Amino acid sequence: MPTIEGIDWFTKDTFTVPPYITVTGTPTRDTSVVHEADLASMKLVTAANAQGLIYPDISSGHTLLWNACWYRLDSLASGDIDLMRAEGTAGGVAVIAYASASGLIYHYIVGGSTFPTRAYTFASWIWVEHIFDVTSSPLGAYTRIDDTDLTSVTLAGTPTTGRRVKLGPQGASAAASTSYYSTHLWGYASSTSDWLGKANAMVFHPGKGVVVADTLAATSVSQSFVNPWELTGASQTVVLGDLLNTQSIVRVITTVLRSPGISDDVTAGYTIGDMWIWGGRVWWCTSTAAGAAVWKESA
Amino acid sequence: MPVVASDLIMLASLNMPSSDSGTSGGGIDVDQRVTFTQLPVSDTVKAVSSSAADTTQQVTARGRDISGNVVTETKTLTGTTPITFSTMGTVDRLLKVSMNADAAGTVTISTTLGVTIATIPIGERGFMAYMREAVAAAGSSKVFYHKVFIKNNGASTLTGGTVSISDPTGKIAFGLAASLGDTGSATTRLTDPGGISFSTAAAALPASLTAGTAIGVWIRNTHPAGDSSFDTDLTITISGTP
Repeated sequence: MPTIEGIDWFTKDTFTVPPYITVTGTPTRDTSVVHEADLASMKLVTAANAQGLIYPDISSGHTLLWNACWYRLDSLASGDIDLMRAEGTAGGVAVIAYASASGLIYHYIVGGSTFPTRAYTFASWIWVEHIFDVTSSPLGAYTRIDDTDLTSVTLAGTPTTGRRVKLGPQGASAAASTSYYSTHLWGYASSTSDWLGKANAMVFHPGKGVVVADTLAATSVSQSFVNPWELTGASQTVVLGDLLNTQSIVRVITTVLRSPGISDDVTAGYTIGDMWIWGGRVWWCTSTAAGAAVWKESA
Repeated sequence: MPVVASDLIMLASLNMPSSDSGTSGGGIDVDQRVTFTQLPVSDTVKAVSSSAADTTQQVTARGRDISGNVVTETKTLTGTTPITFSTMGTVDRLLKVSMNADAAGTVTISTTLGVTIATIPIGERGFMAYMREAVAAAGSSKVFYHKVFIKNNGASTLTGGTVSISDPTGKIAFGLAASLGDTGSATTRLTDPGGISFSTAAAALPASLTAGTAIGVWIRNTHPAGDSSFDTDLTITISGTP
């Protein structure tokens, strides 16, 4: 299962995909679903009813066991804003929120009595990673800005039917939404080998400015080993017949992995009539003269 | 931290004979792997360390040249400057690479054309073909038994583990040891180790593969009388819940 740790402090001029501190598993960015050549990040200008889309659909043919989108947000909003919510039908809502009055970003889980609210110093920009499962039907997530629900991200069902990750007012259809973000960079990450995304699966590491996305057990792990081996084929001695009352024994050479040459002669133990097979070709020995053996290739 | 794929490694047993005499199997050899990428085309072989401090370790390479002859050469590492096994020359395949001492860096074995054959991690000594220099018999079938180990090199437990194989030759069956970390052996590689149920079907591990433990996997190659030559790969897969 993937564990991703990324540094969350960025300046707007140097923003890039956050460098990962550690990555466990293979939560690689799948550029096949990253729109155009944009960075895998998005800048949102917070305002009421801000809306927009993250395209494209996860089209048919992709097997997405988890996916993620992330965005950076400036601190222009007045009042608290929810930056992200993730929830499951089984209950529990994980929220990342920003309190503009205190300049803190904090995280809490609704109803999560055993999980304390944690606050983090929020500078100018923050990187938030938002990861959903797209393979398990009871899971879903949505995003809010300015305390307005954004379009729910319904990710139930199989991933092959096309999934759209949307940011916009709750209930608005993706097709009807209009991009509100001015300059924006956005992106998408996906993996075909790991997954996560159950409710409350997002954890913050205080003090490190780090988002850790994942705490849940992956379903399986598999490792394959390639083990070379070799076997030399058996030499065979064949009695070819009774010639002039003298039994002649010739050999079929299959174990020397090359073509025969002039040195494969009487001194090397070869006999006229020996057959040599290698590389799908066949030769017959017609002379064993020392240093001048002749092997005729069969047509 | 759950088990991830890279935590699962395959190692040799302490006795991996290259002849039909001598013990086969035994306990795990934590210094030698039995996984590598065979040369895609004949080439000379190189070795290089990631550490400039590696200047004393001797690396012995053993292979088979393009005429089918077994050839070998020992060279001393020269740190981050590659060494070429030029005396051994162009080889059709590698059979074994071993070092006489641990290296400070990772040692990479590659072809001159640049194909990486294997990397020897710090603390290990090399790799080999699990079955090498084996010869089929003209007049009778011949069955070989070799033992390898799959080890959980991580810090967590793999549960519900199963092992399966992919064998393009149809010559191979395998069987798991009855317990983790066993030291069972066979008298020779031509001797049935006994107590192992060989099959081509996936087999469940006898117990969860806890951190640092390993399961022995016996590989049985069966070759009929007069069988032809092989230079190929067996793929062994372990799956489970991390």
